[in-house]
Amino acid sequence: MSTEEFQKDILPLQDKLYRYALSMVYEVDLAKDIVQEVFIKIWKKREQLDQIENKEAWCIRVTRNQALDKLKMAHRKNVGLEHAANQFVSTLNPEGLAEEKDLVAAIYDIMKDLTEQQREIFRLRDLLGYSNKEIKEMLHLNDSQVKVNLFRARQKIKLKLGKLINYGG
Amino acid sequence: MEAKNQSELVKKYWKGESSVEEEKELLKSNLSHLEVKESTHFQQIRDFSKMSLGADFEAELMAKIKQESTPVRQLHPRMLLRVAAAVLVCVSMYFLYQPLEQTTEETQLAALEEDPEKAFEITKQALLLVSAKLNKASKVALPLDKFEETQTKIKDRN
Repeated sequence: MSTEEFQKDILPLQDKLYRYALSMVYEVDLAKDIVQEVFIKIWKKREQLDQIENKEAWCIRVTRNQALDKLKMAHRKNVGLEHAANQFVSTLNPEGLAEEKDLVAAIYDIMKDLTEQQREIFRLRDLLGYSNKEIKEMLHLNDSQVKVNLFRARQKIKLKLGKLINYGG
Repeated sequence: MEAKNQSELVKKYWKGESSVEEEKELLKSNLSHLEVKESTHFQQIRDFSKMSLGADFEAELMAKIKQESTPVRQLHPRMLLRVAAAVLVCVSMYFLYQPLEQTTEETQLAALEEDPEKAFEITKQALLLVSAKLNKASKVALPLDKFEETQTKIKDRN
């Protein structure tokens, strides 16, 4: 893959990969670093890229692995993997854009009670706009698994929103 | 989008029955008709979907890639071994050359000396010098021949 092809086919995915990483680590600068590292990794493997059928799905997978590595590093420093993302939310730069911080914290809040599979499907569908068919291929699931998990994820969120209203949250 | 349609679409959304296209339409629509909790939820998803890395990211990334792609001349391990071997040979040659040169002079003197005893002493001194410098008998194989030859001559004379 040439530089031109890399710029044409891979770089346009930058915002999608950024949002994906951000919805995993909930920290703006860290998500940027992850995407940069992912692109450098992809660039180094550009000779093999022609053999990859679905480059976008592959880029998402590389980003996921990179973000998981960062969370594992945080896990080693902190109490547990489940709390690692929470740690990032609480350490968001207070001098950064308040809106951006609030939005990332809100997304974290929406997703925190979902199971890992529900969270991943919600992330790909609602935050990145992939169809159920694309999600099925990306996660190696069947139609029913994607549909059921999406339904349960949204029901949990709806229930939570209802509670927030009822309790004045 | 009409309020009624929007409401139907929201119901489909919560059931997980809406298509990606319908959800895109929903996010584009005026959310003020919805309940506050739902409106906030879709607003957050809409805003998150607009988050981007900024204009500088691509330029910074390409600069970094260019920097990483600049070939750095690195010595292959095999090449390093070759260099190390060459240095070792040079150093060995230096140390070998010094005593052998002197030994050669001594040996020539010994050969010129008609008195075998004196020749023996000269050779012995040369050998001691070599031995002291290298502490390896193998390095004195050549002078040893001379030493043996002289020793035999002395024995024959006696």
